[in-house]
Amino acid sequence: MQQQGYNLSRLKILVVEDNKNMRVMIRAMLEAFGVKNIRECENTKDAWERILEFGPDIMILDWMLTPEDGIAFAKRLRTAEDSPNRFLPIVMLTGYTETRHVMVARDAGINEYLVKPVSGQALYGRIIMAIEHPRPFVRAKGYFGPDRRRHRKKDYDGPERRKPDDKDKDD
Amino acid sequence: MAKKHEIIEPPNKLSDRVSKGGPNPMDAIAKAEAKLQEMAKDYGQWLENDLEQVYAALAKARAGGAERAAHVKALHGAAFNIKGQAGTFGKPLLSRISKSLCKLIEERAEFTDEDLTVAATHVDALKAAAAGQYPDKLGEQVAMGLEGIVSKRLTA
Repeated sequence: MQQQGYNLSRLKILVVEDNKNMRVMIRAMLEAFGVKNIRECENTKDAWERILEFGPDIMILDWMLTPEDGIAFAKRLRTAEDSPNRFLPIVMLTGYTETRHVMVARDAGINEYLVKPVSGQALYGRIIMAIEHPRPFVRAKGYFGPDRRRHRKKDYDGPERRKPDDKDKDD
Repeated sequence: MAKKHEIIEPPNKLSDRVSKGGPNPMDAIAKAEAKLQEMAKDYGQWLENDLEQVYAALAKARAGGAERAAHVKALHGAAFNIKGQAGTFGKPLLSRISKSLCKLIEERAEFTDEDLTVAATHVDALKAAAAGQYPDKLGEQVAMGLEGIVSKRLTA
């Protein structure tokens, strides 16, 4: 890891998490990283409005939320015509640890996946990943979101391997 | 074959917002971990509140009635909080037991009386673990035992 870090003081981060204690923990860690512009909300209805008003640069999103869960919210944010920011980088923070959950999140358009119990190192790492490795977006049948292939070769001239009839995936 | 997808390079707002010259990352992480350590003293109360919710949800689910599913969902929610937070505050056994309970609830389409008995065993174990009644090796054995019971139920 590089010795000189980023100045994150101008970064705007929205934390969407229904558990108050978890919100307190995340805020404390973000402040320790030097983030000064933090907004919190506990449901997706408020989150939608907060994205409009606050204009976050990154959203930290829980999975278990109301009135819709974090997955449905991410999909709506990515695809709705009236979305306040379809390209907003999303870090999903959840207690779901199984691969199938990671895949569901990936297919919903999540950028980074972070498993609870969370540590300072893991949260910092995901934020830096979003900063240093922004991914292009892909529009495909049934999907709009960050490229699910982390290592795209820009000069790839091989055969097109996406299945033309694949309804849900672009890779 | 025509491509069925479009690649879009979104505007990179993040690069405009951050600059070099911030604190050493290791220092920033250490500061965050120190903040979590400070919070550890509050976690006992947080845990107590979550456990109260676990006990209440289990009692209501056991009372029967048409709302069992809602109470089991509440039980899952409270256990999920413990699973997500206890590990951060140095209580991995509580996280592990909660994880096993959450798995049982997530995988059972209908929560039967037998499932409730297994859930109650988990809740008893959570109570004992929170009270520090399991030394390391015993805690490991209890967690393995509970995971084994859940695994059996899910494959039965």
